[in-house]
Amino acid sequence: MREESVKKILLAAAVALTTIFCLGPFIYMVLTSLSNNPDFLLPTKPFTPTLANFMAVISSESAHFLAYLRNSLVISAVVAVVTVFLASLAAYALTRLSLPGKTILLLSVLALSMFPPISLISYLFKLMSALGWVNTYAGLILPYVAWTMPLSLWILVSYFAQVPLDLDRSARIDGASRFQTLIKIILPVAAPGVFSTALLVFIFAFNEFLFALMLTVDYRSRTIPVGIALFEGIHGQIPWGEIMAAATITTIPVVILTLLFQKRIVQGLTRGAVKQ
Amino acid sequence: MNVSFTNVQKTYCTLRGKVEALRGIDLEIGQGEFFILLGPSGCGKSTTLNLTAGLELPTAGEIRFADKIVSSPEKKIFLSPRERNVAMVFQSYALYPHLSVFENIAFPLRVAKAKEIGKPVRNTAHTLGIATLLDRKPAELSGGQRQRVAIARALVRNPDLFLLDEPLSNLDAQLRTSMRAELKRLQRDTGVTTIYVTHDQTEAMTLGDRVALFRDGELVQVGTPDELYGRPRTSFAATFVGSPAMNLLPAGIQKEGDTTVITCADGRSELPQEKAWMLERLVTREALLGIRPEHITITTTAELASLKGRIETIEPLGRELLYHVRTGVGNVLVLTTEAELRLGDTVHLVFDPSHIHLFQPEHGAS
Repeated sequence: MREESVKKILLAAAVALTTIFCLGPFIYMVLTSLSNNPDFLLPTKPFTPTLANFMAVISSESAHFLAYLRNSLVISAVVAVVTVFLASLAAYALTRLSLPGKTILLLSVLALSMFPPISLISYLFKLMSALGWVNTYAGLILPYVAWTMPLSLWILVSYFAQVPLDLDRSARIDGASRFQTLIKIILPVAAPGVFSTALLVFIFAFNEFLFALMLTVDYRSRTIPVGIALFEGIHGQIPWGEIMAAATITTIPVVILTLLFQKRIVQGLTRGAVKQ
Repeated sequence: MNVSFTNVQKTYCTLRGKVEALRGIDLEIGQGEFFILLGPSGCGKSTTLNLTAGLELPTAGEIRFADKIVSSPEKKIFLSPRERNVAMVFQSYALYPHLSVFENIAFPLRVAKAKEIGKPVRNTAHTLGIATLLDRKPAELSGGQRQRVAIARALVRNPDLFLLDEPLSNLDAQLRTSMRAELKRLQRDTGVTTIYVTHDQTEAMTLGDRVALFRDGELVQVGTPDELYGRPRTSFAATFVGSPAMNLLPAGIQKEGDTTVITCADGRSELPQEKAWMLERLVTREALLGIRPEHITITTTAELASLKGRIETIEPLGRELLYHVRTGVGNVLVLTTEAELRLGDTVHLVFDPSHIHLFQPEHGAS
């Protein structure tokens, strides 16, 4: 009994430590954003919570915070949809059709994703300049789709491989074309995987910094991570409170998405598909 | 609709080389026939079914539905499954897990953009006794219910051809027997030409109008269940069909005047005149004598020309008993109602000459 309780206490302590370690920066961010005092860290000064920083960030015309946020949301959503759609087609082909060299194909896709983005950025900038796509949504969406494709493909291939082949065969005998089979059978059955892939891609694109830094010029296409990093107060000082307020608002969409799709991800949709 | 296969071949290319799944199949399946493809696993029966459904392309040969060619690599013709109007029931049932029973059955109609969906779905569900389950998801159904949904989905659009791939092997024994009877009734009521794949010879014998026995990608024998049982063409057909399996014993053939005498250790039988045709398939004087367990008389008294042995195992089967008798030429199974014999008894076996089969021994395979 004593050993049991010791174990329980240790477990609780470990959980608490991990939580503090993970959420610490987040809490610090939220607290700073709510503080009216840029020198928050000084324990001598009293802490009075205020929403002034949030109001300032949202209402400031010159900060373009809302424009950055909109850019990020639109670009990430489009990237998530396009990537998952294209990766689904590829994953269908890789799991369903008899292609020569499937494994080599998958491995080379993986190898491609090993290139550090920094090594690509100069050519990417040249390419986008030539296309006239610098500082446009398309100029970010295209590299993001390419950049998130290997991961999506690998995740979707593993999910699609779990969908029994008999379902495809059955659908095709029932008269469905291959595309209908993918849309009406495989995607819904693999929905948990598809949703989690889309979510991951969204978060990746939402957080991406380097491409966004290099390929955008101003508020018309700049995304929020770059926006926050380049945040400057009107008088050139570093406005920590406003930066933290902006960062706090930025985390909200990701948190909401995760909470929303949590259910769908966990839901075991494949149960009962075939007799085990 | 009748289906015909002409020299159909299928070769799979794998990493380890080519695998010949079908080595030239010729088959005619008649209109409205309940046709069984029987054989051990890997014999090519499922491949034949997939080729018929249009799920796979043959390597060579021709498949026709009525007068229409549906597959012919030589003529570059291949109709997709949707152009063939075939329906199929899978061993795994392959129900769509995200759709309700109603939507599962309705799926072929929706894909075909049928005008009327509710009525045919409900009618078919009613026929199969699953009308009360239409709102459920497949996960909430028992094995037997899933099976019925799978059959309903296949029947709902009035297919020209009904294909079943081991549909009963996931059911428990009792359910299997009742579903078997129901399938037979359904097939007779609808009159749809049916091709049924199984490795279970009992299913083949009870369901089939005709049976095609496969082995290693080749057809061993095609015929009615009676023909396969009564006149097996090879020792493989003889042992695969019928339960308990036919006994095969090494035997010698001798001509004595007009009669042919078969000797088997100390046992002797005369080959009846009407069975003389069997000699034609023998290449050598060596032969395998085939006799079904129910065509052997077992006695304790020594009779002329009987085969002597000792009872090793007794399996009571209820109405009958199955004796395993060890003889000088191997183990012999005897099925009889004679219940007086005990383990270890020395017995004498007499073969009913009118039920004797002779086969050419196969080399390399039993």
